[in-house]
Amino acid sequence: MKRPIFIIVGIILVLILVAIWVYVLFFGTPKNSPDIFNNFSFGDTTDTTLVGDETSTTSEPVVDVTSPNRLRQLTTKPVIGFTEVRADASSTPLVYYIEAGTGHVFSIDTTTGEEVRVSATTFPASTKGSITPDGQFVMMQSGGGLGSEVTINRLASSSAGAASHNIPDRVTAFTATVDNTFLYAVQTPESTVVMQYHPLSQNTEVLFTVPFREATIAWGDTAIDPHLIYPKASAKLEGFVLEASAGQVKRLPVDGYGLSAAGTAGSVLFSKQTDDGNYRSFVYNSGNRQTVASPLPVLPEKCDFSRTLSNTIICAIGTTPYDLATPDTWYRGEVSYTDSFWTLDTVSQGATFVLDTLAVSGQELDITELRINGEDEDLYFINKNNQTLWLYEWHQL
Amino acid sequence: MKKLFIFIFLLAGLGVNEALAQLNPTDITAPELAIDLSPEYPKPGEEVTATLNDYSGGAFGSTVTWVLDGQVIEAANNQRQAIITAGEAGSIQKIQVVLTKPQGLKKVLETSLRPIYLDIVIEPQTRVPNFYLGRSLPSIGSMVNATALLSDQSGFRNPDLVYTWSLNQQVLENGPIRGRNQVSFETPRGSDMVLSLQVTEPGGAVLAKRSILLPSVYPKMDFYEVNSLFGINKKIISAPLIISGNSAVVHAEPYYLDSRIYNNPAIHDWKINGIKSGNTGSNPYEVTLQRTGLGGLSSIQFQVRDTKQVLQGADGSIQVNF
Repeated sequence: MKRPIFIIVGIILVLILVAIWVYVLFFGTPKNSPDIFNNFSFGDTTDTTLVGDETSTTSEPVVDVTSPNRLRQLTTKPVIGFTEVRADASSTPLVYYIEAGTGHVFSIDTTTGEEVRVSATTFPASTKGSITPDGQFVMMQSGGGLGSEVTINRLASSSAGAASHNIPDRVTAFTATVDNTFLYAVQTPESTVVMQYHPLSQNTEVLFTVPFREATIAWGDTAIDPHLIYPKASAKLEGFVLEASAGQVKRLPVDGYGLSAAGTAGSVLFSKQTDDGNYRSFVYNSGNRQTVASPLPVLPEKCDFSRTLSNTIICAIGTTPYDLATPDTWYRGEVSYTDSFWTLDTVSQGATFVLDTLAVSGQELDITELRINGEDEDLYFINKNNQTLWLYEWHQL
Repeated sequence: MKKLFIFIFLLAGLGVNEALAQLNPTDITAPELAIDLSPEYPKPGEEVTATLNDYSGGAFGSTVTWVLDGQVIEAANNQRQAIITAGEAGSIQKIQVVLTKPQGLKKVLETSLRPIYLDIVIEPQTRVPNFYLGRSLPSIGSMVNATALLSDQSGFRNPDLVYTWSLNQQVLENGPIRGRNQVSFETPRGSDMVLSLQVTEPGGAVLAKRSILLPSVYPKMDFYEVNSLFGINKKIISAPLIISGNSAVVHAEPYYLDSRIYNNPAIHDWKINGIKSGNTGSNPYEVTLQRTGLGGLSSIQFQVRDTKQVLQGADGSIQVNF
């Protein structure tokens, strides 16, 4: 035979062998081997049955109610409004909340942790909401600015009152009262008009008017309680506080730059810039008309007043010091605080540390919408960083 | 002779010219002694400095006793100044100075304080987002609305008074106007401006006077991330925005931009790494960023500007990590 034929055959054989080698290298799999390489004494590892989740139910709890922590995250979804609903004094409280963006209303049983959707009515681009304490009606704002829409809807079909009521005016602020009505502020070309709507009777009445447009309202618990009104806070513009009660509006001796305030019938907590170039807080007593310094500087938007102790205010206070750009930088989202809870005593002018939320939760909580329930048992708040709803079992009593 | 005397007399009378009396106005208006108050129209609770001004030295050698509403102010005994705290709104406080001359003669000077609240609400017509809880600030060329509120213990005073507004010492509305407790003006150039107001009764008595210093700022651009379902995240994007999914929506917010420009901008551009982006969304202040290839760091810029009327604008940029 000729030599070239031998060479060609040899080359072909070599190529075949190389191909087999490559195949075995990349695609070959070892057969099951009975050899044991390690024995970690895990027992019978040949059992291939699937262990199912024995705790899953149709209404799986979303809130961890077994943990000893008194600080609990109630939602993972962003929230635009919430309230505590009790059928009566002895019943378990439910927390109703409104999901941002959809306007869906949910309730959480804080004892069992179960969450139930109360309303599946969608309000696209919903940005703010308020629910009456009886859980029957919700006031919802969708969109923003001139294009925003505000409606009041009935949550329970068995309730009286209109299923839906649209407010055509330019609503800038609203709240639900403890006696299950709604208060809202309407902006006119030269003033702000505050009105009350009764969802059962569907009646509307004017409560009072303030002669400027850019107004912040610190609402009282009911329509007849005093409400505080002040020009929206600005670190570079002066503000002052008015008190509206029984249809009358009067000026309080509270004013300053960077001014914001919160209050009850007897006290006004306010913060402002002082002449020495600091941001400080004070408490004005309506009874004796005296103003005392708060033991700690606070943002009044992060405080609420005790429902049982007239001289106690609970506030969320961060470690980042306030400065002359406060509160503008917080409003814009440039500054975020990691808050702890403190109580302030307006009589002794003392402060008591309550809780480090970062140490307990492991999360940075910039607390806003702080609300004490009726018996000073629980605190609810929203974390401004992600709009989630939280509960702290204060149990002041 | 008699006729000659009459003639001379008449001739002399024709040559008589009127001569103006050479009077020094200050001799009429400036008293020898006076009590000056600073501030002259305080708000309730404000500290007022009362000063005895002795223009002609008439108090030389006298002891000075200050009396407030019949009570002697011991802390100001024999002082030319006294510090007084203004009382309740609407009240009248009588301030007296008793000068006891060396010979024993007493001279009493008197003035009164009428504390009242004169608040000026400043409402700039500039942009802030709906979630922003505070008030906007004036920017150069933007319009500002100012509202005066005069109030005492009984509430707001009837606005049927005479208001004289002035900005940087230039009178607005061409002069005092009755019932005009609101005014609008354009923010002038400069870092600040002084707005003054005098409120008088229709009869001319001054009720209150006040000047305030207002800031003028440059528009400022901040960026926020938007969730298509839940809405805008209210924290400013400060560090590079990390896009973990395939896309993200970024919202640009030009704080303190004149509202007229915000609603109808002449120029509004998004740029990615310096290249103009064809943003086709309905909202010119939002852009959707989509990952199309390899990841990395990119710069997102936005500018909004007016070129016709207000000549104002704002721009800013952020880093995005795909």
